[in-house]
Amino acid sequence: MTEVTQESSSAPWWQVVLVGRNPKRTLLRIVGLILGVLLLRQFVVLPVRVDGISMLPTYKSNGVNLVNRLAYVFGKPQRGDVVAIRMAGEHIMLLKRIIGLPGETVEFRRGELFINGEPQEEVYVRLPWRWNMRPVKVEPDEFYVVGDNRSMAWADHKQGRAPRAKIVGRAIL
Amino acid sequence: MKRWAKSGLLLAAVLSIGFFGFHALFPAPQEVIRKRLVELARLASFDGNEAPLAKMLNSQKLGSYFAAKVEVALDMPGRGPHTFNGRDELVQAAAAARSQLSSLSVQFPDIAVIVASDGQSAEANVTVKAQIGGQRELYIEEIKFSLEKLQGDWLIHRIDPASTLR
Repeated sequence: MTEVTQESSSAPWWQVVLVGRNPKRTLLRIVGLILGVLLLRQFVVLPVRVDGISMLPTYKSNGVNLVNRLAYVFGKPQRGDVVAIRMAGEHIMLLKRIIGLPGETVEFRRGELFINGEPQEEVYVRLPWRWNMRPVKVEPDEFYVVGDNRSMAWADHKQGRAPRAKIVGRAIL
Repeated sequence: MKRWAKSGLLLAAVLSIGFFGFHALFPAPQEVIRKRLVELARLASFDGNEAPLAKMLNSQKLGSYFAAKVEVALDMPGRGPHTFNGRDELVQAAAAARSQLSSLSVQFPDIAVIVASDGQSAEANVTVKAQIGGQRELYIEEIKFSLEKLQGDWLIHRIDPASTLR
């Protein structure tokens, strides 16, 4: 204790500001912090920037979000979950909402969603349009995903069946 | 004890240099393919200042990454599905794009390479991020490159859309 005090008093003020009273300890703390952040990013939470209009108005372009990688460790993705879907890697991913679960049949009639022939209420859709899609069967281990912005042209809107293995996690915010 | 530590550090340094040196001199096929695809993206990109001679040369150089009988099937934004057959047609299309578009930025942020067990063919799933000059819209797609090792070079012999969503 005394030694530390003596050391700190002998160090110039700028060194204390830059690297602390004990540079070795500061270095260890920095390494620990970096490792912690890297591990957190790799296995727990992935920060993402939203780019595009397909999830309007829920998520605006240039917004920031976090993806919980552990969301489906003990449970399965649920209808209504907003999930990140990997492409060739994780630098660019799709952010979509799950509307169809494995084994279900998904259909759009004049913009209204039908699951197994039953109409569904979608409170998150504020920009509806008259989309039509023939019934599509969701295979086991797949989820049907779509964006919230249904005012986009059907051809410009990426939607469809996502394999479970491609779902990275659930959006937190 | 200090001597042991020094020897250990020296050994670790020599092993590290050997390891990285070996990989630099004899890179794995995955690394070679990844590097070639990154170069391809760089060559496919151009800006408005590109000189006419550079346009021609870069389009020709682009062709050197493809097999003579390459087949390319792409879903072009706003134009729908389009196919190119053969390297010559592809080079012509690249040259035409360089003349007609003000600029083009192509990036491959993610490249996942799988080399076949025979080491002579490979598949690379790539996320493509492209933007045409003057347009706000980004073209983001996942596509699949099929490559073959011909005369020591990895050449692309097929490109297909790899739909992330089915």
